[in-house]
Amino acid sequence: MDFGKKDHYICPFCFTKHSLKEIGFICKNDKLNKAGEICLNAKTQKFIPYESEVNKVPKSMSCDECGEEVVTKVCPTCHAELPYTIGEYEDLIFAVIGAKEAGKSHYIAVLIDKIMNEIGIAFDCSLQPIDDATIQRYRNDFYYPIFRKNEVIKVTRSAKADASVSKPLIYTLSFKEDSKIAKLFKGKSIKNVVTIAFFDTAGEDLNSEDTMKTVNKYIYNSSGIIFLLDPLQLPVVRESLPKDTVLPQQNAEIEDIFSRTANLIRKANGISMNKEIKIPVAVAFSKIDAVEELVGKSCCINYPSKHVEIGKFDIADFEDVNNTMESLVKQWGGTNFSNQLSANFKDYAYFGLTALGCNPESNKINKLRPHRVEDPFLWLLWKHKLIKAEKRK
Amino acid sequence: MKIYQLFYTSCKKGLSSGMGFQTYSMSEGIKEEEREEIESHCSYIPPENLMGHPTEDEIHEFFPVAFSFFKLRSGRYCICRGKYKGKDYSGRFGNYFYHVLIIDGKELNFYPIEIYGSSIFRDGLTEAEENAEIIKPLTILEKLPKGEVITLESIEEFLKGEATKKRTKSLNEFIDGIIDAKVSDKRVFFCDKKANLPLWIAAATMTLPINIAKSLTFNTYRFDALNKLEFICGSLKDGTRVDFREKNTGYAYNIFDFEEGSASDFNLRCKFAKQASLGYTIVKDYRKALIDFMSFFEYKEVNIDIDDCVSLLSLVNNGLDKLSEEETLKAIAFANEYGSVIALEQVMVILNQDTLRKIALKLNLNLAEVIFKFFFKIAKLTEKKEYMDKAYEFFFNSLNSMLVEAEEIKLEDIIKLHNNIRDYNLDSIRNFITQSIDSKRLKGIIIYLNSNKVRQAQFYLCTILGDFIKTGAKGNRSIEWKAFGNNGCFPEFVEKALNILVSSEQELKATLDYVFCERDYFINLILLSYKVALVKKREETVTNIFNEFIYSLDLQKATEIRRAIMDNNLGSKILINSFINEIKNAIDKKSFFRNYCEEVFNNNSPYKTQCFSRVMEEFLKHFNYMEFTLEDYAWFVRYLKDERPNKILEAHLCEKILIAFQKIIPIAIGDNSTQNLIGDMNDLKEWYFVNLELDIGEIMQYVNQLYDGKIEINKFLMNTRALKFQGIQEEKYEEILKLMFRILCPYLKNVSCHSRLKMIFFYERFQGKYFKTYINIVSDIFNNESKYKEELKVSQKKPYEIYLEAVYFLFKSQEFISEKEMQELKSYIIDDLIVLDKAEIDNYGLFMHEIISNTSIPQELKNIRIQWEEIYEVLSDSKKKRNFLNKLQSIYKK
Repeated sequence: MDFGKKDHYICPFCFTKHSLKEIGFICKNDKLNKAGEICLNAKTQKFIPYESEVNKVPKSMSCDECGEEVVTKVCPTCHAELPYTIGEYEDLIFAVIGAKEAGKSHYIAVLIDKIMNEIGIAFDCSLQPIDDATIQRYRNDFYYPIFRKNEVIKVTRSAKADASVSKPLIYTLSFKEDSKIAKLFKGKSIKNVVTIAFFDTAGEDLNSEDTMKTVNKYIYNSSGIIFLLDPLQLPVVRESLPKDTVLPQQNAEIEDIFSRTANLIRKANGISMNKEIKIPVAVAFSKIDAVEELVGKSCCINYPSKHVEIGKFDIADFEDVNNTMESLVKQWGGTNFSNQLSANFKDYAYFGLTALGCNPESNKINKLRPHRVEDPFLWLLWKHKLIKAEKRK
Repeated sequence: MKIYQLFYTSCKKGLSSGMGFQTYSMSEGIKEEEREEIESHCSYIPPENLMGHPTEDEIHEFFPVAFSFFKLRSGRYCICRGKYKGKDYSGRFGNYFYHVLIIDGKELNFYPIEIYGSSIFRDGLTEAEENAEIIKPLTILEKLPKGEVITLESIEEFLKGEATKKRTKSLNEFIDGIIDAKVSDKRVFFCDKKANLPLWIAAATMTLPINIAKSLTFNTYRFDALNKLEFICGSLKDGTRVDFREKNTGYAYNIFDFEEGSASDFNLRCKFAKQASLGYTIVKDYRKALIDFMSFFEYKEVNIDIDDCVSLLSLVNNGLDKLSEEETLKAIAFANEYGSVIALEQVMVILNQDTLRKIALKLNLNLAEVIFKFFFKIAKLTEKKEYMDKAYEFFFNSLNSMLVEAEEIKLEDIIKLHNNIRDYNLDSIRNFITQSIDSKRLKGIIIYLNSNKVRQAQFYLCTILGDFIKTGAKGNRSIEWKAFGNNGCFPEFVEKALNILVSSEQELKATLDYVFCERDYFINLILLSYKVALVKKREETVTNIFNEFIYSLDLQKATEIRRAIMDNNLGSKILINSFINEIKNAIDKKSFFRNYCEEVFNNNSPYKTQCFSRVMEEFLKHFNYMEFTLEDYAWFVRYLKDERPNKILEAHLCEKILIAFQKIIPIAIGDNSTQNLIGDMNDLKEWYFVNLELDIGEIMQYVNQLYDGKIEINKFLMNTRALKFQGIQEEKYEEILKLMFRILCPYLKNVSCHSRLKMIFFYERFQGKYFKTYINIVSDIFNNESKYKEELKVSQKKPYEIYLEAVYFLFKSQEFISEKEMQELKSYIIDDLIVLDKAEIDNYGLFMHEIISNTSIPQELKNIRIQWEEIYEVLSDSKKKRNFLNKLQSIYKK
């Protein structure tokens, strides 16, 4: 698969589809000229359109004001600064959605750390943030609270109040060439590169389809959805747990959010009800550690997955978990949810995970023990044929 | 006042369908789109360097309040107070609470920052509210206590407080930075300690009127000021998105670090900032005065024009003393651009006579025009007579100051300035004129003119008459001269001005040129100038100028002016003098005169009737007789005849012309035109009863009539009195005689006819010439009979008869002939007769004998006979000799 032969790209901010030559630049030359002034284009952040007959994203162009080479690419529609790799590789947009307090931010925080460390080593790939905004945001909003301060992440602000929330964390995931012959033949050590955008969402921004349509456009443009489900929100689960268990505020929105998501994708992409949506959906039960007792200690979910260990997507393990979780969903009163899922989506799977591995006390994480957070992500990579799988023996 | 409220926070239940951040509740009357817009502002991100899980006390002590102000798209204003709350209903940190007040634009009559410490603001939901099943709408407030945090006193105290850099100086820079940012489309970020954040905003915004302060959106704290929500954003130095250590972002933001006392570079430095920054501490009255003054104007957005308002206040308070020309012009431009009627009226109220006088003395052309227009604009807008009078008084006084005090300013420029202002008032031109010729003003001008300054005379005459001319703009007719020319002080003013100007041709000409477009005014001014010039004996100056103008016009317009001029008593004098000047200089005087008659007189009957003769007289002074041809006389005589029965020429001039004419009449049988001309001239002579001493015209008329047979020769000889040859030249006399004798002599029937002939044509002075010509002609008839064949046939006379009768008459007239002449004539006769043969001689002798014998007077008879016999003897002797010679010749031949 050669992703370099793309003929279009999608802006990860406004999600408008453009041909490769449809791109603009902004000048960031802040050196003073002879008159002691900064380049006018840089001062006004003027959009400089790129014009070419060749349908290829240019590396740079000359500023028509100061003549300096400009490299900062911007979307011709929303003028947002585009990743420097835009148009070069396959773009994958992963949306993490779920109800309020489902654990989305925590999941993303831990998943990215996991990819950067364990998955990178296991799958011979590397995850690199694409810009400063991603680095800073991941560091400040996700990494620091959990890994440095051992605190739970603050409530995610609504994207309606804070537009920065709706901006994705963008990374490139580069897979190294493992075959020496191929390395020799291709003359490069990188086998494949994809751009991955993770979108975190404030739960309240999924409370209405209108809001989703405006601030969560990425959902219907995504390459994969990780739908986080807090089992503590399921009435059967809540009732089954010991009475002294600290439960989150009950949220009746879970199924609504899911149906809203499906409706939104159908409407936005013009998919009729008699057709299935092709976006793969990983339905993952978060905070699985809290319901350990209900799952049963011997359940496969409680064992670490083998994907990382074998450096491939372990289909046997996946299927075990998928089947177990599906039956649990039904057992916990989630039949309707399950039906909705199968009725709307062609590819879907159930996962169980915990980002923190413990129940925080007074917003403090006593011991961080993430478990199976990589499963949905690896499944999506596998679905996109980016990693190899190992079949059941 | 209606104040709508909205609470935004993370709560279990609010206006949305789920939990989390949302509008908890709001007052009825807030629209959905307003709510959405407000929500987009309700974000609070705590500084990153603060504790993640703060206690309430820590929140109070360390977490800055986000007090913001902005305008909704609907036009309403929002004042928001965002405060970090800590945990939300779920126990998670990151919650905050926004209390938003929404106020209609008109009702926002205070500085938004003033209510920073208002007790009206809530810090969060009550437990009951948090858990309420049914959420009630928030009340609409009617009153808004301001609180004690932001007052003029607290700002004063703050500015006087200890700081790394003197705070008034920092405030000066801060205001400069705000204005620079507005002008350059930048934004302003500042950081200081938490408690100082609202005070900086208060100090900066409260230097402006509330209406202008409303244009400055602000937030006392924003984590990420780069998100472009508010214009002025406060922040803490550390833990927020803006790097206050990075000052090289001057093109996008002006950054102020008040903790350190530093700021990013920007160039703008304005007067307003300098003065306003001292308005809380040193010049408190000035702050209020400036705000009050600025409030009158429609100046709503802060920009660099604010300095012009400061200049304007200085202008109305102190005149031009502290202002450069550029500042003054900008100040006026400010007032013109932003001045409402009330604002402009305020300007007039503050301006006192003293200030106006100061301004008038320092005006230059540029400034003057701008300031005049400005004052007139105010007067017009306010429609108050007192301001109009003030404006006019200032205008006229200033112009006079320029005329007298600023001689370096060209007069044309001052006139132009006056006219520009008049044109500015064109919609009320009659009012302008009323003020312009107000008797008080005219009296003042008359006094000014006592200084005898040409510059003033020209200016006032041009501008005041120019004002009247301007009434003719827009298709109207200008006010006629007669409507004002004789009223009040006007005649005195005009006379006084002209009295000065007639001594200065160039300026008088310029003045006349100025009114030349308005015929009525030009004519009256010319007449008055001439009248004044007569006294000063400078009428030639006026006439010269008049000619320059009149000959620059086409015939029709010039004619109109000449006709109009003639309506005045002095008109004919001006026109005659105009002619005199022109004829003097004309190269081809004859053509000039003919043209003048045809173009000027023929188009101006009264002038022709009254002045033709006078003009003719002048013409004749320069007249060269030889230049006038028969054709010219023909034209002239026709010209006079056309005026019949009026005699437009005086008789003595007519006589002059006729005398001149005599000199060029050809002595010959004339063609028809010549004959007609001679006839016409003779008619003219009779019409004007002219008696000529030498009347060649009459003679030539006889010649022509005799030649044509219109007069019978006998009758002519019988009836014609002796012709007048007084003063004739000898050659001309001879020519006339020759011409006449050739016609008459063949018809002379007898000696008495020869006598009549002599009686008619004899001029004693040239008597010898008479007889010589007489004998020559009869000799010609005698010797060349064939030439006179026709005439002799009619007269039935033999040539020798005419000849011998002539000889007889010659002897008879010997008393008129000298001895010498007689001898010559006799020789001449002998030469004629000697060629005859003897028989003929004998025959002629008998004829002569018969004539002589009829002589009645014996002595005369005797004398004539003696004379003839002398001749006869010569002739007989000659014959004898001849016979003898003939015989000798025949003998010799034989």
